[in-house]
Amino acid sequence: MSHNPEQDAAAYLGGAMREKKSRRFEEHLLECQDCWNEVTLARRGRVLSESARAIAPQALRERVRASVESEPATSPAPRLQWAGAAGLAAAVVIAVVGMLVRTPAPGPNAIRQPDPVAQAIVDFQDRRVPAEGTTTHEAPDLTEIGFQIAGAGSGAIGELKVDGFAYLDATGRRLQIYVADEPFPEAVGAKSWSGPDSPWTASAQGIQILCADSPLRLLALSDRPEVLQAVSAYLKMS
Amino acid sequence: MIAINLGPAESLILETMTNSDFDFIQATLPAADLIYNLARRSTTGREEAEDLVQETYLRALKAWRAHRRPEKVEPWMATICLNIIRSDYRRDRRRPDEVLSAEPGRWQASDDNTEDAAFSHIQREQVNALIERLPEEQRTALTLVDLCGLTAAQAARITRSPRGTVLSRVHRGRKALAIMAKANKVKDHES
Repeated sequence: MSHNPEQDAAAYLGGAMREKKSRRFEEHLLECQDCWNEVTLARRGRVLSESARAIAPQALRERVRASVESEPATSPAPRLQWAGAAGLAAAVVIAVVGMLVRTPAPGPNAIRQPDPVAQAIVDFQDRRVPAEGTTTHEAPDLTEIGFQIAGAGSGAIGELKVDGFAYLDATGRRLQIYVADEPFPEAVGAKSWSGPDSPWTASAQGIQILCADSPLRLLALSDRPEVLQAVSAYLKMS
Repeated sequence: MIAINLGPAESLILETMTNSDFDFIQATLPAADLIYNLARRSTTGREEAEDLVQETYLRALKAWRAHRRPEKVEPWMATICLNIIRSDYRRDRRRPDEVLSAEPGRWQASDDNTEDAAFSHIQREQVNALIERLPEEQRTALTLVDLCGLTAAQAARITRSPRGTVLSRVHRGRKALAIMAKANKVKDHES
C-alpha cells in the first residue's frame, strides 16, 4: 500500500475506498500513528463543522413561498381545482378548502416515511390539522409552557384515526400534536430514548418529531427542537 | 382538511398557486436549509443571505416553469445558488470579517435533541467563526459536504473540480477546523 496519510485518510473518510482497500486501511490504522492522527483529527473536524448547520428561518420559507406565488408566469398555466371551497372571510381564523387535501409527496431524494408520519409532516408544513369531525380526545393543556390552541379537528393521517391540535406561543413558535387510540408507526431514522416501547424522536425535512405512548399516545411536531423538549418535560413523557 | 389561519397569507397563496408551482415548492422547499447554509457562508450578513436564498428560488422557478427540471433537487439548487454568487454577489465585494452570531433556536438539531441542546450557542458561534477563517476553497468544499449534506461527487460536479480534490479540500478543512478549535479551546459534542 502506498503511504500518503492525508490522501488515504481523505479517501477513507470520504467513502472513496473500495471495501477491500478500506479494510486494509483500517488494519493499517492500528499500526500507523500518522494515519491514525489524520483520521482522528478529520473526524473531530467533521463533528465540529456539522454542528454548525443552520435551519432556514420559518419566515424565510414563507417569504420564498410568497415570492413563488407572486412571480408572474410567462404563459398561462393550469390552476388547482378547489371544489367545495367555502371561501375565506377577511381575517377569518379557518378556511375550508374542500377537496384540496395535499398528499405526502416527498422530493426525489427524501426518505419515504410511513404514511401517517409523512402526512403529519405535510400538515405541519401546510399549517393544517384534520377536520372531518370534532375531537374525542382532550387537547393537552400546554398553557403553562406558553402554548395556546390555534386549531383542532379529528380525521385521519394516512390510515390512522387521530385528533389533531395546533398550538402557537406568543413568539410565533408552532407545535402540532396528534392524539390517537392506535399506536403511531415509527418514523424512518427514529431514535428511541431507552428501549422498544419508550418515546422516540426523529428529524425529517427540518421538522422535529416526538412520539410517546404515555401519558398520552401522541405524535408531536415542531420546527424548534426546544419546543418538543419543553413538551416532553412538561407532559412527563415516558 | 382545514387550513388554520396561523399565517393568513398561507391559504391565499395556496389558492392562487398553479399545479406546476405547487410541485416546485413541494420539491424544492426541503432544500431551503441547504441553500440557507450555503448563502450564510457566502454573503456578508443574514439579510443578504436571505435575499440570495430568495433569488435562488426565483431562478430555479424560472427553469422549472421552462420544464428544465433536475433529477436531483439539492445539487441543482446549490449550483444555481453558487452561480448567482459567482456572477453577482462577489462583484466588488470582499468577505467581511464578520463573525456569524448565534441564532438561538435556529440550529440544526442532531438526532439527539438533548445532546444538541447541550452544545451551547456560544460554542456554535465559535465554530462558525473558525469556518470563516478557512481558505475559500476549503470553506466551499466543507460547506457543500458538511453543512449542506451533499456528497463529494455532487460537490465536485457543482464546483467543477475532481472528486479527489473535493475530498482533499474537505479533509484539510476539517483538520484545520479541529486544530483551530483545539487552539481556541472550542469543544464539540464528543469532547
